[in-house]
Amino acid sequence: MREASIAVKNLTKSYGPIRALDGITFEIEEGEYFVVLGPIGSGRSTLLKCIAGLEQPDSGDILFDGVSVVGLPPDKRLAGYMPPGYALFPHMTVWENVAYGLWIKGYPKHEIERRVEEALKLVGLLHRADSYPHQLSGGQRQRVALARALASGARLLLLDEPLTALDAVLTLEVRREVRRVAKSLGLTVIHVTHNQEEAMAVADKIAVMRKGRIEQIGEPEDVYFHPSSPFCAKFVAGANLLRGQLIETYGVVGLAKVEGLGVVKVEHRGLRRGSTVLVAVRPESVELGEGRFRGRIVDVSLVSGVARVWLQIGNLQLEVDVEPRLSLIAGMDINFDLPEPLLAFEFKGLEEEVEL
Amino acid sequence: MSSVALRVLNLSKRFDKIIALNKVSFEVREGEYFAIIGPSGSGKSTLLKCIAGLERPDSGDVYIFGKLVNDLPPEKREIGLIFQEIYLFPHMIVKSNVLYPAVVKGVKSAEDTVREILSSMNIELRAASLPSELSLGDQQKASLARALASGARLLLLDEPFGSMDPRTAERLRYEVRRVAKSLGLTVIHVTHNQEEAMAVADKIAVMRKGRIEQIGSPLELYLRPKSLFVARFIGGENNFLVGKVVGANGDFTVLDIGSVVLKGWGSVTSGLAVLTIRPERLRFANDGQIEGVVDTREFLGKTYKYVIRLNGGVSLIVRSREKIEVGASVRLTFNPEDALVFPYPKEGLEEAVRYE
Repeated sequence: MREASIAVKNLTKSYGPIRALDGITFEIEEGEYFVVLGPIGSGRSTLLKCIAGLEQPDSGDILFDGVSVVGLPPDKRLAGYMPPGYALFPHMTVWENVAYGLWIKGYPKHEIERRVEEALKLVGLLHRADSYPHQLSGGQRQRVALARALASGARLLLLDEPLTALDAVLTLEVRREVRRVAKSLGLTVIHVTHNQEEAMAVADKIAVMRKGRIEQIGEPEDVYFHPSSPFCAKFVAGANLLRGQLIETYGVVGLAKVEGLGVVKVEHRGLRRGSTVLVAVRPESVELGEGRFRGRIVDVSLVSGVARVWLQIGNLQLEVDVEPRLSLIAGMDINFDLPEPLLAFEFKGLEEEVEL
Repeated sequence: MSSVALRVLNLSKRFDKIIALNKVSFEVREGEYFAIIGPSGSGKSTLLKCIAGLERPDSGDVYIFGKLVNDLPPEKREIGLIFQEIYLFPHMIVKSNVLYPAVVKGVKSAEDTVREILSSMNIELRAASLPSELSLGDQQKASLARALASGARLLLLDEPFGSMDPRTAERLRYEVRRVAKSLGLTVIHVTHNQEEAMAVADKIAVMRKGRIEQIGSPLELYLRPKSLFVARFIGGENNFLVGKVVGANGDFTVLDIGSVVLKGWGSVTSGLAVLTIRPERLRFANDGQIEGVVDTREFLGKTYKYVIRLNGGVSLIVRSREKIEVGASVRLTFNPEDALVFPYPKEGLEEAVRYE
């Protein structure tokens, strides 16, 4: 087995009474594109800052190629850190901003030119090389910051919400480019985001963070189709969580009675009969048009080529994603089907499980 | 049948040599959430200013709830105005800010209304805070609450979420729609962000170069765009294939794009034509007429997104739940009713769909 290029061991960090990191452990292989996905306040930025050397952990270890870097200053870690803001020098041109780190490190002129040009080309801003940051839009400034991190020559890129300032179209382009560049240069990347689609699209592996802990680590499809908790199901796949009662079990499958909906087949991790469960239903897994259930379309909204339909079934509301079609009209009753068996998780109190 | 809240008739406005509005006419029904979208410079903000009374049109009429308001100042038009920049009195607490216009106007039982509005927007706990103590999202909610408390039944929103991060903006847009719907208000919402409009509007007017290009529900604009511009501007990614017309068949046109002959909906009798087909309407099929190779794949959760390279260099974007390896040879097909055919534009395809 190849040596992990990054290893984080039992990392903790508190700010007063708040435990930002509560025992974080994972390994990243060299050249891997690793995404830390979590909501605001989950500890993802603190984790990134500890790896960059901008924060000191209270305990635990961080190893680059097997060597501990805790105690090393940021500039000795061969990591290019890109903060969520732009942090560009206002009095320097785009070109100078990107070249600055390379000048400081004493790279030869032709090498600087080659790298800066390539980095600016990658983010589509070569034609703005002579502009100053204040002449650029927010999205363009973000791309300059990205170019700077790319040009720095670091083996490890640490990206904190690199795409938030970009509009939808640019986001798609830039995220593909970042991954392509990282892969072609053999860089290891740790990319922090709250956006599940962004995470899915670029990651080799995803760590889902919540309240200072990692809830699940796996390949995007793994995390998406086989969430380890209701939180992961909801945060990663936007799943509906329906409360029910496990009325029958046979090993890891069983029947659950869902309030308002009826009895559905479920798959669970060895729960007892009678347990209260949360049944996860991914919005796009619902078949609309025919099936044994019936609901009323309350509202329809179109986002990125997907029609989000709010279905009302008694007191229950389901979010369903289908292909856009003109026949989707609010107020209409419609049959639907669920992809049984559905995943069922132990219910530990709604607040605790699903607050995002 | 509900009554007409806003009627705009033949509105024109010139700034020097630039025609900002060119005989714009439309109606908005009471209780409708109506979005006006278009690239910058399309005239959408000028249109809103003419409706609000902040700008005087050169010709044309504006009726608000049946009353001709051409000569009325903004404060006499019974409208609530919300801008991207948030104008709250910095020295007044939220509640006083919200109450202010209502009290000035002598609106009865304003206190109760304000309490209700603040609570429906989940900021009642912030009533005693100063604006500077609030997040941008909550500040914008407060200015919205103020517009509502003033008794306005027509709300004009000009890029209301323009200064917020995308995540806050996304949350807030649904909330604004919910509040407007529950109070039966009519909303005119101007934005450059088509996704925002598609997600919340009942109806959308797409503007370009001072004219309304198309008015329709989000689904209509998405599925039945009347121009290449709308097909490109609305709904995110789309595929455009240029070919030579080789036949017609009732409402359908057959065109030769070089590597393959395709059929789509629309009648173009001769010359060059453009066929548009949405990424999710293309299907992998063993007997598909389109041959290509998988260039890239992204996992987006709900679907995989592919770029398929066809013989002859053209690429197609495809969204599908099927997982296919990069490099594989594939065949694609689509239902001709899902593809739209337009005459090749005189100004060229790129110019016809340009929106930046």
